This record gives sequence, structure tokens and C-alpha cells, in this order.
Amino acid sequence: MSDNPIEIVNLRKEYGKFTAVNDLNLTIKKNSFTGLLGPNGAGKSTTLKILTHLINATSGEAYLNGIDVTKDPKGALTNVGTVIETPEFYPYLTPKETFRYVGELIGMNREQISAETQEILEKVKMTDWQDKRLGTFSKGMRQRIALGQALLNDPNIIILDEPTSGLDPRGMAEIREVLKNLRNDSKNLTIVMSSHILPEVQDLCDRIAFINHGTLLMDDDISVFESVEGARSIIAKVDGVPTDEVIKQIDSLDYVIAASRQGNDIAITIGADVGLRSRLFKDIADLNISCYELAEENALEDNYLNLIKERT
Amino acid sequence: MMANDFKQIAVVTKNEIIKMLRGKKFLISLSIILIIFALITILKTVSDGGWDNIQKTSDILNLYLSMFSYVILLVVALLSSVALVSEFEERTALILFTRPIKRTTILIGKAMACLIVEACMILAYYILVCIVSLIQVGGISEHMAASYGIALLYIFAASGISFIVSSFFKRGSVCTIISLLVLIVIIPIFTSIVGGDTWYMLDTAGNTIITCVPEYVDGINEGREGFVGVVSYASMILNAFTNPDTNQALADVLYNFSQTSEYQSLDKQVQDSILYIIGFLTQHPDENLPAMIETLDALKLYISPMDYPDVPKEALVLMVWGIIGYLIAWVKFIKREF
Repeated sequence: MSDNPIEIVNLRKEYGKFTAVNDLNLTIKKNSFTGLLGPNGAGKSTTLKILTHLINATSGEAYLNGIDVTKDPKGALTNVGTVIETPEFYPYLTPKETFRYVGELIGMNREQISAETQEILEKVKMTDWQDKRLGTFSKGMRQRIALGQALLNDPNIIILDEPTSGLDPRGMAEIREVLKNLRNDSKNLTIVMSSHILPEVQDLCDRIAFINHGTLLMDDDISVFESVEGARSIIAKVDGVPTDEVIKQIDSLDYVIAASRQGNDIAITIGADVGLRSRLFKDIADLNISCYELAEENALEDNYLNLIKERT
Repeated sequence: MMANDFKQIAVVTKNEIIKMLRGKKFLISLSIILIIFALITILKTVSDGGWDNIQKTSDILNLYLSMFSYVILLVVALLSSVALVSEFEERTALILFTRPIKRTTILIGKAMACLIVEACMILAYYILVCIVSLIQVGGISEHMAASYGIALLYIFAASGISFIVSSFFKRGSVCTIISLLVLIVIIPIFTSIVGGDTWYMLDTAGNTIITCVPEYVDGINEGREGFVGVVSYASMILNAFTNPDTNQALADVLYNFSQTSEYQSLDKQVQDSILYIIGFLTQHPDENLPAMIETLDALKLYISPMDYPDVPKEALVLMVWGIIGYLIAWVKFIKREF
């Protein structure tokens, strides 16, 4: 078995004549934050529910840390934290009591639970609410607690199924912030998250797996999806109308593929490398061009729609 | 089962007990038990004769436990029927089931929590009965412990049935209603349809809660003997009226009486009654009475004396009902998908 934390092999789930997951093969790389993308009914949630033992696979294997969850769910889920959809908590418990319950279930001792509870509550910004009953919490607050309980015992895999679904913009932003901090602060953590929200995936993930009709369409670094045939489109907003001289200067930069006027803005095509965007910003400043914004065109959405169209 | 599984069972049990103690259904169940106890006590106090006819410890058991099996079913249906379904309905399964814990462990933990809470509630009732027994007759029945033991097994059996319901349906309220129907209506109806010696039925075995007290069975049999005696006398009296000659003679006597001044002095309602009897005896000298006598004789045969129950056998029956119930619930629960 390889050291990939998640490996899905020929996974299949049938509901009568309907096949929700169709011999899916997917490998999630260690320490990656992978976004699982796909339209409604693509099989994303079903796959994650099989991984978390909420439903049973018809056939195939799904390994978590090398243990097949379809055969040994208890062993496979030992070092895994999950937030599937928007779970509910026992309303009569406080966050501290909930963490104690979950902690005891996964075999942590009292000292460990107390220490981690404080740390996690700070991470999810719920310290002030630790002794209030969950029944009084908003959906966003409950989702932060859900994320918190998933972090107990320092798991090396976190599985998230549409974690911001049903939340208001503020709630979504809060969850994203927690996830971003998690991604940046954790050294040994692999996260897989399904979502419909492309900007969210762009904001958080470094890899994307496209799924449709229960089959994997594509699985690669996000930069590949964000570029069009290896290129990225940038719109530079400058003071006044850009002159031909300015456009020529930008076009002459060695990594710029093309530059042209687009109304009062400049359309620039650069290579797919993520670092080129900040380099472009610096070079434009060095050229004494008064640029106040570099906006990237959302190639991910186009790629996403094209991919679904092509493969179906 | 590993050591870790037992620890997890204890964790689930503890959480479920906290959940029940903080929930409304616990308060409702406890209220039902206390209200039933209070009602029996108050009604006995204000009734004719009051506590004067309560002389023995077994009288106290008869008073408080003769209908108690229904209270047990009510409490069990309220608390056990939602144990499994609530995880799906309230979406808490998304937290619990995604953890490294076996479904079997969850089921055992939940079952234990239900049994502990229900046993404690029933124990509270028995303690209250003991207190009344000490106050009123100065002692406690030697059969109290046996009765409580059977009550515990009855809780186990009824809870097993409720767990089956809870593992199949999607809504807690539906599960509670169906559990109540099955335990309080359907099973007793089935028992009465089957008839005869239904020692293997849940409700029959549950009745051992009170029938394990020999004095209770003796009291029931005394009452039945008395009733059979009354029915026999009624049958004998009616037999006397199946002879048309007797009927006609009686009708003649009554007719002659109706012509006297004594008759005229009687109240109008009494006069009408005498006329009605004359008419009936004349028109139906022997038609309806034989059928009535036959019915009464059949009734005499039907009211046979109650047997002393085979307590160990009935305890075994309750255990089997419980084990089968939990097994079916387990098979369904471990395969149930979210």
C-alpha cells in the first residue's frame, strides 16, 4: 500500500438501477487540500459518505491510512475527522461536553481532552461559548463546533462534505477562515472537501478532483484548472486610458504571452505558474505604470463547465 | 468485543443517560409514574372504607401493581422507541457514526442507558409502594423483590420491541405511537384471539409482575368463585321459569292480584311493572329463557380459576422476547444507511 492517506479503488454504489458511484478510482495526496467538484448528483457526497461509513459500498475499496473502510470501518476512521453536511449536535450538551463525549469515544483521556478542547475552541473562535448549550447556537456556530470536534486527537485526515452549505455569507467566511488557518498551520494534515462553490475551492484547495456520474473526470493541481491551456488571463486596471507604449512595455516582459487593450483596461495573458502574477504586479510598478488592480479571469469556472460538457 | 469497545459502550451509555435525564420524555414518564401512584393513594383514601380493608402486605401489592404492567409499557414506549431513530432524525448520526465506533457498540450503549433509566424509574415506584406498605400494614411483602425482578425483565422485553420499531422508521413520534400500539393494543389483541394458555405471549408473561404474588391469585379466584355462585343461582332461578305451566300459573296469580284493591294502592310504576311481567309470562312461556340459561352456564365454564404462574418459565419468556427484539433491531441498525 502506498503512503497516500486516501485511496479509492473501483468504488461502486448502486441504488436499485441508479449508479451513484461508478467504479471510481481516486488517490488523495498526502498533506494536500483537495476539492471534490462536480454537479448535483455527481456522486461526491455518496463517495464521502462511504468513506465515513455512513453508507455501505456496493463493491470496491476505500482506504483511509491504508485500512479499507468497507471492511474495517472502526480501524479506518481511527485517525480521521469528519464534517458531513451540517451535522446536528445533542442540544442539551455544551461545546465542552460535546468535545468530551467525542474525545472519550475516540479513546482520549481527560487531560488530553481538556487541553485540546481549549486549543480547538480558540481555533474555531468559540471560546466564549464553551459552556452554553448547543441548542441555542446558530447554524454557523454549530458548524464551527462541528469543525472543532473533527480536529480532536489531531487527525491526519479531515473529510468535509459541503461544510459551508446552508450558511449565510458571514458563516461561510468564518468557516473558510478556520479552514485556511488549518491548512496553513498544520504540517501533517490531508483535507478533502466537496463543494459546489468554485471560489471557495479556489480559495482553499491546492488540488481538484472533478467527478461526474460517479466517475473521476480529472484530478490535478488547482493551477492546471485555473489556466486555459497552460495560460492565465489577467486584467490590469490602470489610471486613465492605457497607451500603446504601455501595452508594448508589458508585452515585452519575457513571461507575458500577450497584452492588448480592452476598453480602459489591459488584458494580459501569462503562463500558468502561480508566482507569475505577483511578478507581473511588481514589474508593472517598476515600469511606472499606475495600476490599481490585477484581476484574474475565472478560468476554473470555464474549465469546469467545459469538462462536464466534454465528458458527458 | 475488545476492551476499547466496552469503554465506548460505557461512554455511549453515560451520554444517553444524560440525554434522557435532560429530555422532556423523561419528565413525562416520571410524571406518569408519580401521578398513577398519587391517584391510587388518593382514591383509596377517599373511597368507602378507605384503608380499612387493606390488612396484609399482599393487599398493598394488589392495590398498586395489578395494572402496573401498562405503566411500564407506557414508560418503555416513550423512552426506548426514540433511542435509535433520533440519531437519524436529529442528524446527530453524522457526528457519532463517523467516529471509530461499531454500530453494535452504539446499540448496546443505548439499550443499556434505556434499561438503566427505566429500571430506576420503576424502582422509584416500588420504593413508594414499600413506604405505603410500611405505613399501612407495618411490613413489606416477601414477593416485592420477585415482582420487581419480573418488572425488570418486562422492561427488557418491551424495550427490545421498541428498539425494533426504532430501527425501522424515520420519525421518533411515529416510533412512539407504533410502539404504544404494538405493546398495549396489538399484542394483547393477538393474545385474546389465540386464547387458551398463552404463557408465551409478552403480556401474559408481563402479568407475572402481580400474579407472582400467590395471595393475588387466591383473591382473584375467590372473586371468580363468588361470581360463578351468583351465575349458578341465576341459572337455577331462570330454570324455574322454563315450564309453561309454571309461567301461566304465575301469570294467573299476578293477574288476580292486579284486580285487587291492594294492587290499586300501589305506585303507578310498580303497577306497570306487574302488568309487564304478566304480559311477558303469557307471551313467552318458554322461548327466551332457555337461551339465557345456556349463556349463564357457558359463562360458568368460561370463568375457570386462575393458575399460579410458573414464574421461572415466564421470566425466560420475557428474556426470549427481549433477546429476539434486540437481535432484530441490531440486524436492521448495523445495515441502516444515513
